[in-house]
Amino acid sequence: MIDDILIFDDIVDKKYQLEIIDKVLGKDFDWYFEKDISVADNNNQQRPGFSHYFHKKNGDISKYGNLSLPILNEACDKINFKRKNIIQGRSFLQLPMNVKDNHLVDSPHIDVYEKHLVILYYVLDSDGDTIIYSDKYESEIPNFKELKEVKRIKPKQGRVVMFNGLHWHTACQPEKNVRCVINYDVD
Amino acid sequence: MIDIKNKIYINDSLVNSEFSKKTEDFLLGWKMPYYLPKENEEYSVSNKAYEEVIKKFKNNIVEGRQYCHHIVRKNESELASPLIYDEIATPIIKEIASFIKVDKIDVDRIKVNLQNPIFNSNKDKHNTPHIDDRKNHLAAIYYGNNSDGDTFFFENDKMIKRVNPVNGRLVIFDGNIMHAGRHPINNPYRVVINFNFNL
Repeated sequence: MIDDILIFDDIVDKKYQLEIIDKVLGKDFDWYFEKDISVADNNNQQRPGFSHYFHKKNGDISKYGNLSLPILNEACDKINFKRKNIIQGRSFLQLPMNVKDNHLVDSPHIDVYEKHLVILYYVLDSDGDTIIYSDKYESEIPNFKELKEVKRIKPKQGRVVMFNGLHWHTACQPEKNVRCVINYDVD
Repeated sequence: MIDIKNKIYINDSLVNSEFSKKTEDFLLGWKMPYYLPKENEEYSVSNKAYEEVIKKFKNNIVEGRQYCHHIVRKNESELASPLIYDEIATPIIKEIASFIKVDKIDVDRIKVNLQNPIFNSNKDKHNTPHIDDRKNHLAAIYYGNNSDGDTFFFENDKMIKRVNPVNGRLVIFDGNIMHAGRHPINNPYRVVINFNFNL
């Protein structure tokens, strides 16, 4: 498992980046409401957004499942990562929102509590940076205020970031732009 | 049929609390798909016919994107969303028909809108005042959750009523009355079902 945070721009060519935008932000693409975009059932910080599961944990694949696979394949090839399973593949969409408490950083989280690689692709140039902390999940939930930020990544169309999925991470609420990402967890 | 000309009826007891809770869970749940309209299609109005209205209300208008789900599309005989029509829309339609004292009511369009807080809003601002259709019609708004983001009703350029979103509340009104919603400010989301019926 890699332990660096790796960033690659234009992981797929521009034409394919635009095809992804066209489909994912098209009028027929189905989105499902999430009361909190980072942590389900988070009643402390309701930061609403929308998700779409390309690949579910139970093996179900959406009709758009093939759309995002080239991203996954290119990203794994870049670091010579031989993936065994797709644990889940999702897309998230957030519209710019006026956050009442002015606290833009969402709740830190781990996608799945098992060894995995996170592959995060930015569909659009946007605000709403991704924040990765140096701290890793070690069987207990830490005090989030004590987490140490190790990297902040700005969403840029075509950019992919890969990191060990046991690192706590989160995102910032976009204020100016639509923020759309594709997020794979693989082992 | 009861008199609807220039009338706005607000009713909190047409649907029961069990139904309104179930509906809230459904509208905000994992089975309910939403779609992001193109930027120029998503606001209350995009029509040049509203240039005058926009000029008149410009200091109070604030617009933002929203997510939508069509249950019945205008001028389409096939239901856009049959499951949600049966489960959610039909019981509400029956109550509206009963309230206005008709046996049958002709649906023209049903659409769900979900909005989040946007910038530059305040409690007196609203989206662009509009009517949903130029022809005579009956309109209704069903509020899917407790939220802020009032619905404003206007006569000429004067506000004549504003209605606060309460889960299960139904506003039934003459579709010729100009109205506007507002993205929520204090609540993270506001979901409504808009109904238009042919008269």
